[in-house]
Amino acid sequence: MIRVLDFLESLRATLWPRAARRFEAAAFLLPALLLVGVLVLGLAWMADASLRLLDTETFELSEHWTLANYRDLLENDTAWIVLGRSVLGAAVVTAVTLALAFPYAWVMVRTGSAWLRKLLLVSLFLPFFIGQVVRAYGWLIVLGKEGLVNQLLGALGMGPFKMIYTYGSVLFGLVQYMLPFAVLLIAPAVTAIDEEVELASETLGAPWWRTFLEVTLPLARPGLVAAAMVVFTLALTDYAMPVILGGGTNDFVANMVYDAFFRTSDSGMGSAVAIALVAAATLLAGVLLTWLGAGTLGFRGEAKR
Amino acid sequence: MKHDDTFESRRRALLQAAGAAAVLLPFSRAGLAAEPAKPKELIVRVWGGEWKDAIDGGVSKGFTKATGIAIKYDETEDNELQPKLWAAVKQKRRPPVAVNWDTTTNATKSALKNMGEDLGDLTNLKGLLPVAKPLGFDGWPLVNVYSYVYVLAYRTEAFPGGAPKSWSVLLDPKFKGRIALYNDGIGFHPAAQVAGGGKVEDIPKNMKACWDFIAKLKAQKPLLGEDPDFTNWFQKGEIDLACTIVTNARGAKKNGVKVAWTIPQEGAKVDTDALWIPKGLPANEVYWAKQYVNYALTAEAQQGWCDGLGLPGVNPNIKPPADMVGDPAYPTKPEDFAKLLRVPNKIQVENEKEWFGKFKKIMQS
Amino acid sequence: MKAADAPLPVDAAAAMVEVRGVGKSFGGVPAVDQVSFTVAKGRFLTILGPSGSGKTTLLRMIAGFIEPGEGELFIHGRPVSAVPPHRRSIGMVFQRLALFPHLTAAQNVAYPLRMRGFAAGEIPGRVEAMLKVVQLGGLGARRIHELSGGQQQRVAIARALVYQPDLVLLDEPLAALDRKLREEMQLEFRRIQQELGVTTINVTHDQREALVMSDEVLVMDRGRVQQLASPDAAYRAPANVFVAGFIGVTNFLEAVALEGGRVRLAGRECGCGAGPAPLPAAGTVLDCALRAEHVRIAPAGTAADEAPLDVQLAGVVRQVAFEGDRTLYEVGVADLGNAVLRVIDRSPEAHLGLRPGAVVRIGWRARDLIPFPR
Repeated sequence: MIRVLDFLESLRATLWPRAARRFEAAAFLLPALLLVGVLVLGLAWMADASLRLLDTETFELSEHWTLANYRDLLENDTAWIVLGRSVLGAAVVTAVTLALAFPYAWVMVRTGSAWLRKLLLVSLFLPFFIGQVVRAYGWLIVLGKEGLVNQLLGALGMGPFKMIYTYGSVLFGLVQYMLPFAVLLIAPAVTAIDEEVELASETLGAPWWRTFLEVTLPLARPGLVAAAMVVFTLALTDYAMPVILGGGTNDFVANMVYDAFFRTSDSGMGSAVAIALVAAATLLAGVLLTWLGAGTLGFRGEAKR
Repeated sequence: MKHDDTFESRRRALLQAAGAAAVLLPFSRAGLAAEPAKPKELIVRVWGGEWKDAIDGGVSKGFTKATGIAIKYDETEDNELQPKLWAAVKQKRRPPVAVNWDTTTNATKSALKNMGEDLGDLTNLKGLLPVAKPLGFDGWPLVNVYSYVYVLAYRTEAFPGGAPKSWSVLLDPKFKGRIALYNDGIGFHPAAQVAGGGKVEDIPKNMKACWDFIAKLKAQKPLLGEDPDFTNWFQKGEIDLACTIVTNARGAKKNGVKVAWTIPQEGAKVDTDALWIPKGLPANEVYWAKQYVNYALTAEAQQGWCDGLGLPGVNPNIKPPADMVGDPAYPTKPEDFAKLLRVPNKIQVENEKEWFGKFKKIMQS
Repeated sequence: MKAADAPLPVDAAAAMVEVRGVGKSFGGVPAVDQVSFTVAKGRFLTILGPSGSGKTTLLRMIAGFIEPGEGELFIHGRPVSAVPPHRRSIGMVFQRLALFPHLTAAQNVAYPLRMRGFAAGEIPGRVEAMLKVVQLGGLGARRIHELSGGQQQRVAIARALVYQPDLVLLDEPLAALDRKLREEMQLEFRRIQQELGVTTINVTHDQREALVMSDEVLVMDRGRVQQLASPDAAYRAPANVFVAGFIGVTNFLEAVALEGGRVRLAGRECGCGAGPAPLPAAGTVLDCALRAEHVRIAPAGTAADEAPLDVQLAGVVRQVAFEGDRTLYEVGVADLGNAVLRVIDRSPEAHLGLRPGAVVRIGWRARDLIPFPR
């Protein structure tokens, strides 16, 4: 028996020498690297297509490279309006979502009642399972001209009010859609805050709101920054909410990409808009990270105390 | 291209051998020896809802009964399937569908890229209305199958005095926020051009009247959507007026919504949809896909299909559905077409990008 | 200023802390039951007990995190049950220290001064002085994670003391330290506490810590006070069997009371010391406590110990644990019905030869056998 094991061990050593072991960690990274590689390839393909102009007589992209798509984009007022609307929308959605998600996460983590924690978790995850599009249509039913809210208001002798197909309704839908993401990103950061630290602040003379501002909030910063990044980029690049809740006149950048690719069959312009969106999102995320400090994501590995 | 050559010659040989069978359509179940092998199924791209039900009941059921070939549907949006089809044909892969039910504008784009099989040898092309033949091509890279009109649909409760007379009713402040257009402006340009004081013949050279009218419309806060949205919006009471294909208005009416439609004095745009077969299918599937298209052009198939849609087919021998008799939105005769506004598909295709950009510029600001 | 913020009249004669009939139940199970005691100004009281004894609950009620179910707490003579923690003049050092990781050492110490509205110009001086007291002068700019465990302890202590609170609470802050550092910090904290004269309540399960640091020890078990005494008295004169067993290494022997302050132990008559209560009537069964270090041990056949031993018995060594400054033996004694006695010997060099199985002589003085009526 021992000899068999020895043999197997020597076989293993030959097939998978000790020196190869340091590549084991790299091997686990391989699938992720492949995935990123495919993404990079796709981006490269789009970058290439973005440099080719559509010929509307043949519906072929040009053979030679040109910056015409980008020039058109820079001179296109609509593109600037849509970009401005997307960035402003993403910023507002991020601010509102974080403001709502933080207390939610805090109560969910800190509450002594298992019942309340379960309730909060379930109400967080339930919409997750429903999906973005169905939820958006749900809002149409609730907030429409003959929807639930207007019926209730009508019973009180008010309205009907126009609550959907506006910029506000798009942002509302986005906030509701982003809330679970934000809570799930913030909750671990709150969990990582030792409750004793908050109690300590109280004994040291701070009322709850000063404890919140001076201790809880700064310590939850990694979670807040992560949530802000995710919510901002998801909102900036969202497609479905503007389509469903925007009534067609509140497009975001992703809608421009779709239109170019699928409505005007112009993969060159579509790629140019997509590349510009990636660039804008990367730039804004970079600015956000620089401003808040890269270490705020917790990568620096600061000690717990 | 070598591949194409062998493919093409093999196909031709098969077609010649099958010639006799082709003429004998509709089909004898005996299955002549010369008939190419039948595939188990053919995939047809369709629009969902009313549209799918119509082609299924009118065309596919009869075809399956006659040939035993099952029909499956791909409900990918036409605009989204297009780049996939193009990529497949370009890379000589088997295309995802055998028959594409498409807007004539999109089918024209594909035809310009030489994506489709020539349908010139279909036996049922003879005797169709002239509108069946695609303009600007020597052969038949596609065949138009029916016409449709972009009518002015309205909620009858909002118009107790009868149908509105002019497209200008869309500018009435009373209907602010309660009007709807397609989100690419399609179907509205000619009407806007005339309603704005211009001439349809000036498209595409001088469209100032059209764009000015649409700019005024923007202040009315229109909703912009796609086919299913219009039915939905009428049902939910979100809108009073819409420029939409008559089929959607008829669909809402059938569902009990109090909706009617009219062709205002300026006229309304008429357009067509088409069937075409992408290149790159195995020769036997090309053969049977052509039989499907050919069958779709028979009076029997057109009757069932177009009844479902409420649209005038290109086969002159079909009877209009009872509720569409005498409706100006159901054109069959040349004088009917004269009242409507038509823009050649080639001009649409060439200017689509620019028009789309201008429409978006107005609507997104 | 709101009325609640105004300084309340202080009863100078009152004890700094008074706990009067305080109780608290969780889910119907009493965690703290009818506890009363007082702590005079400047004194150091340790609440000693095993886990589950209610000591932490009691401390958290004093801090204000938990409201008492019954009874009342007074700090400086002022009832505080309805006063939130941030308005009680309390400094607390937590089990896990609870320092603010996003602040420097100096900012941690400055925090309570800022929260309590000290003048901004006054704060740096106070912080620096406090850091000097805890021997962290010059380290104020360090981040918390840049400090060693001992230095972090000192920051936590400085933060709790800097605003001169009426009362400091220690929630086992030293428990996580290694033994050497823990013993060093025990003496260090005692030095600081005496230097500043601040009233302190400490909670621990570590009897050694309680004896070393405190002016008074409050022993708790199952939510009730077992004994409140000086460390010396708690050790020498335990109030009951629980205290006798919890503090020190103790043997318990069953005996029967006789006339004249004597007892019968395993069939033989012997004397005994003074217990917390007079001996009951002859014939009553007793528990007698005998501390391990009060039992003498010598190899069989050696000359008698100089100390006069009232009881001497033969035994066999079962286990030997050499601990450097002392050796712990477990000795089986046939005359005590094969009971196993634990014996601590503080001069191990004389008995280096003892191994399990060795036959020994053990004995004790009558006054070290403490009787507790059942």
